[in-house]
Amino acid sequence: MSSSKEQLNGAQALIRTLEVLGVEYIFGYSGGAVIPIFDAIVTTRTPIKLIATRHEQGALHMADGYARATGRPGVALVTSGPGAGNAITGLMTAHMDSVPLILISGQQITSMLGLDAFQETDVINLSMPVVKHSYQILSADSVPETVHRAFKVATSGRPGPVVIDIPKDISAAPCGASIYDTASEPEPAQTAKPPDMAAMARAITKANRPVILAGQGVLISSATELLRSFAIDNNIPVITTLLGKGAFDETHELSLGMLGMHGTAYANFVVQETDCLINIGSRFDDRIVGDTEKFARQATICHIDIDASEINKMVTADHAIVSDAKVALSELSRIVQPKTRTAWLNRIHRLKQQYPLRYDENDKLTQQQVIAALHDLTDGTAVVTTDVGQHQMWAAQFYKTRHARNWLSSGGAGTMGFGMPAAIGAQLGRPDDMVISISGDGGFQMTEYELATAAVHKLPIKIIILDNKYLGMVRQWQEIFYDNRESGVALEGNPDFCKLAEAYGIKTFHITEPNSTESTLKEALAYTRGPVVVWCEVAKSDNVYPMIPAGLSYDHMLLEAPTTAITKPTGST
Amino acid sequence: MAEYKNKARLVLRVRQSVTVLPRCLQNLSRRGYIVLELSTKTVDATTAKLTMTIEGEQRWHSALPHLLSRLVDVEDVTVEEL
Ligand SMILES: Cc1ncc(C[n+]2csc(CCOP(=O)(O)OP(=O)(O)O)c2C)c(N)n1
Repeated sequence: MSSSKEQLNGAQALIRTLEVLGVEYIFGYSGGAVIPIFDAIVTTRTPIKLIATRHEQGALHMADGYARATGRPGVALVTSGPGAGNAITGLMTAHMDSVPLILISGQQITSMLGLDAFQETDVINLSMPVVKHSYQILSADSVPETVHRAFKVATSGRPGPVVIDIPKDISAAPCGASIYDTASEPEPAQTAKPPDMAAMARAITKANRPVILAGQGVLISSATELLRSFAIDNNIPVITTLLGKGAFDETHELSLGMLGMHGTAYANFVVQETDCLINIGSRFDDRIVGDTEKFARQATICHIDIDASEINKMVTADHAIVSDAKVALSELSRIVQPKTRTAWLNRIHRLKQQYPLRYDENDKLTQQQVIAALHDLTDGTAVVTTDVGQHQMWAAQFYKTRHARNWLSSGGAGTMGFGMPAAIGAQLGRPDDMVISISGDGGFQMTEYELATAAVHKLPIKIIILDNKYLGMVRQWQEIFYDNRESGVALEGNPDFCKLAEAYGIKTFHITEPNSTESTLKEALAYTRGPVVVWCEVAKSDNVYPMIPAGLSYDHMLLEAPTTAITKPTGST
Repeated sequence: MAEYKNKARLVLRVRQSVTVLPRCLQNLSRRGYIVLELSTKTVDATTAKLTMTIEGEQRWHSALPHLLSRLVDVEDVTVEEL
C-alpha cells in the first residue's frame, strides 16, 4: 500500500479509489446531493468514463449488464431521495441474480439526517432487503477503506449489490486518508470438506442415469471449461438453468437446454428419469422445481452451492457441498470414475428426437422465427440480453447460448425493462463483441428512454423489439387459466417503434412477415455505426410451450395448447 | 395457526453497527418470525451479543444460522429449540 500526495476531498478520494479498483464506467444520474461527486469526475480528470443515463433504473440495469457480461462489478451513481428510490428495482434485480454491483448514492448533509430535510431518504433501510450490505460514510477519511470493503463484499462468496451512501458534506470535506494503490482481492473461494466430496463422488460414479444441472454459480466461478471436461469425460448430459445458459455450450450433443416451467420437454423428462441429479451452482428456483415432493423423484440429489443457506431450502439434498463451483468441480473431476453410460445417452438421443422444440411456420411472423434466425446468423456467439415474458422464454429456448457471460436476463426478479439498458452496459464492457437486446413491446416501453444513451455513445447494439401488441405472457396465463378473459394486457396505443427510434437518430428496420426476416436481420446485424432498432410485428396470440403450470409436477407438462380446461395453478405466481 | 409455531432461542455474536439489528430482524420477519424477547449486551468495543426468543415455523429454525451468518456484521449464530 502506498499513498498519493494529492489533497483530495471525499468525492475525489472516492473517484481515485474507484480507479484503483479498476472501474471503467460509472453509470449515473445527477442531483443536488451528488454534485460534489459528479464534480470530482471532472476535477480529478479521471480515466473513468461517466455514462449519463436518462433514468436511475436505466443506470442500475446498465451497471448490472456490465457486471454480468464482464464478471467485474458495475458501478452506478444516483442522488438522494427520488434518485435512490428509482434505483431500488435495479438493486432488487441484481440481488435476486447475485450480481456484483455498487450503488453510490448521494445523501443530505450529516446534520440533516433523520430530520426529513429535502430529498433525505433513508436509503440504507429502504434498500436493506435487496442488497448484500450497505455503508453510510460519515467521515471523509473513511472513504477509501469503505469503498474497498464494499467491493470486497460485492464480489466475495455469493456476489451481490452493495450500497454506499455519502452525505454531501462528507463528499466535500477534505480526506486525510491515503488511497490504497492496490485493489483488494475477493475472499478466497470456499472449499468443500473432503468426506462430503468423496461421498458425492461415489454417488456420481455409481449412477447409471446422471444429469448435471448447471446454474449461474458455474459462470460466476469461471468453471465452464471444467464443467465441459467433467461432463464429456463422464458422459453426463447437462441441463442449464435460465441464468446458467452459457455454462455449457447448448449446441453440444450432451446439452439438454433449459429445464422447468418453459424448459425443453426432453430436459424435463430427463429430470424425472435421472437416478442422480448433480446441481452445480443453482438454487433450485421454484420455476425449476414446481412440486417439490415430486421433483426428480428417482434421483439421488447432489447439491453444490457457495451459499450454505441454499442447501435444503427448496429440495432436500442427499449429498451437499458448500463450495465454490470451480473448486468442487476440480475435486470431483479428480475422483469420480468415468463410465460410458451408453444406454442413458441413447435414451436421451431418442427423447430429443421425439420431443424437439418446434414452432409453426406459416405466413405469420413469429417470435420464434426471429430468434432462431438471430441464432443462426450469429452461430449462437452473440451476447444476448432479454426482457421478461414470452420472448424471454422463446429466446432461452431458441437462442442456443454457446459461451459464458453471453446470456443476460433478469431471472429471479423477472424485471421488465432490464434488457435494453443491460445491453448498453454489456456493449461498453465488451466493445468487440456483438450485443443483441431482445425485448417485448411491453418491457421495451418501460426503459425505452435509454435509446438516447445508446445513440449518444453510438453503441452498435442490435435492439430487437418483438411486438405482439400484448403483455404476452400475462395474456397467455389469462387464456389458459382464466377462461381467456383478457384484462389489462392489450397494449393499445403502442407507437410506431421505427419513428420513435428515428427521433433519437437511430437506424431502424421493420419486419412484418417471415420471408424477409433473415435478410433484414442480416443487414441490421451488419450495421455497426451505432445502435439499430428492428421492429418485428409478430403473431399476437401465440403461446409458449412446453409449459408446466406453476407449482405442479413435471407430469403436468403441456407440450401444446390444452384441449380441456385447466385449473388455475396455486403454486408460486 | 399457532399449532405449527415453535419457540426457539437465538444467540448472535455481531459486530456492533447501526444496521446489524435491523438486518437480523428483517431476515427473521421475512420468514414469519415474531420476536418475543430481545436483549443486547456489549462484549467489547466492537462486538455485541444479541439474545432473542423467537416464535415461528419450526422448519426454518435449523436454517437460521446459515441465513443470518450471511449478513456481513454477523459473526456467529446458534439456535436452540425451546
Ligand atoms: C416491472 C414488471 N412489471 C410487471 C411484470 C409482470 N409481467 C411478467 S411478463 C409480462 C408481460 C411482458 O410483456 P412484453 O414485454 O410485451 O413481452 P411478451 O410477454 O409479450 O413477450 C408482465 C406484465 C414484470 N415482470 N415486471
